[in-house]
Amino acid sequence: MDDALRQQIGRRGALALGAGALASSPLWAQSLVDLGFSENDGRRPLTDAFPGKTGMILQRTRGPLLETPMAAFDGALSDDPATPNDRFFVRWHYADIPLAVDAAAFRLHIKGAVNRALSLSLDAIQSMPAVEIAAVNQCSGNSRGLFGPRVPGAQWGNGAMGHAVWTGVRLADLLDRAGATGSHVKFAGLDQPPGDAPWFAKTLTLAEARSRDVIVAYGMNGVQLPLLNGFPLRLIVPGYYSTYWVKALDSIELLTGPDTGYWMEKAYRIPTAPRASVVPGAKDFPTAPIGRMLPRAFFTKADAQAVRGIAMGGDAGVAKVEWSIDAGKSWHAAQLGRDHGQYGFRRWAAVLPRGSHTVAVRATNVRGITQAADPIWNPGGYMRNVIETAKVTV
Amino acid sequence: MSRAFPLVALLLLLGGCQRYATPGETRTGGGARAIALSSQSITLPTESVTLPASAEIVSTNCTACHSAEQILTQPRLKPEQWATEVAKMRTAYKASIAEADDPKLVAALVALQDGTAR
Repeated sequence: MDDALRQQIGRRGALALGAGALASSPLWAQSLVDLGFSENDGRRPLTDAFPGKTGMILQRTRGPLLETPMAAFDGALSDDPATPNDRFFVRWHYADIPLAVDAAAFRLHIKGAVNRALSLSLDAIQSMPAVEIAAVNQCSGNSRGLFGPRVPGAQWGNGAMGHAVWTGVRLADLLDRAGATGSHVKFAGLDQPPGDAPWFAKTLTLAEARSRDVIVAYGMNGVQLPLLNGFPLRLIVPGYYSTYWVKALDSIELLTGPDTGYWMEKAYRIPTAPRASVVPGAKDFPTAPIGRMLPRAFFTKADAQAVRGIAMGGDAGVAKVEWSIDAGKSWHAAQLGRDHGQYGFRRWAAVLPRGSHTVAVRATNVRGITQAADPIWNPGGYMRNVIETAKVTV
Repeated sequence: MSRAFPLVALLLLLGGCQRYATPGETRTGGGARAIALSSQSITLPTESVTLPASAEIVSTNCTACHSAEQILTQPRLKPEQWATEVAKMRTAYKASIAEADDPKLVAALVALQDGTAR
């Protein structure tokens, strides 16, 4: 552990001192950020050009990929950790996304292996018992740009994630209403593929889908979802990566067997090896669909005024966040902000002794799973959760 | 006052609870009816990044589906890695890229990265 962290600090030390530590610190005039990638290729413009979005890192215009700058997550321990809707990251696979949705005409279809196929209006859905849950939505490929060796794909820094309070109805209630049978549940939305490309759809087992925490949300932080985040309905799968959180959800299909479509069989798959990690360049290893998230802790500020950030437990609550200034030989408990539920962000803050330090921070969840200092590697650039470091003088 | 204070405190507590989920569980209620759903319509910005004229074969084959940033922000990829990406676009996403164009397309992608200031 110590050696791994020391090596990592050695490798990334200079980076941590600069933009890398607080990946996405503004460079000049608030117009560019540097995500601190290894080939010095992390500079991206900040944009206000997307409707309902402010100060987002522009990764791709079409289909939109917008990243949240780390500064947008910063706050005092007592501050609400929710990511404002106008700063919440955006990720669409295809360019043909819903740009207009008529709330009165919209219908959610529940079909396939059901006793009663349903076509539900938003009014009908809102008349059902409402629930809410705070949960982090994180892209499977969050932090892909920080992989070494580098891998192709959207080159995200650490900001393809956000915490919101989601309001909606339990998926289990919808499944009961339709008299769901079968073994798997397939979800699809209003976005459309180009030409003959595979329609974007994701599938959970019926048991996963029936979890009491899985909801079909029409509210995000107390208001309707922005179109770019999936208005009018979005599947919320707390503890799972965002690939399952289907946006503009209009189709729930009960299957009698596993989904053999592209988006489950070929894409978003991780090595079955421990930590989803293989030797760089490895091929033909066994894979499985990506699923549950891992604990992570991030810096949102590391300077003479404050050393603080946010943490998540992955698929379980944050048990503790610790910091180290001796390359992992000793760890000290950080202060924690309010608990907003096991799937939410938890704010943390550290009071460091005077001096110049390389500070490392790690989160441990209530299952006892903690972060490691040695980064994983897989060709998809998925599931990065290495211990983060920053250089600071206090 | 002595009776009102605990009531106020209780209301504040309840009010505080209203905002957040019970740790680890979905919570019933939450003022869902207060979330009004109204039709939305947006216009996306047009892309401002373009590929150089020398990369015409890239524009022709790649930018129908995604804007130029997708290509220009990739880490440096070896020719065989670009070839894998091109093949994936054709087989998985049914992009109409002629296989005979692959060598030229891969060479253009590599040249594009070589010519891109970092």
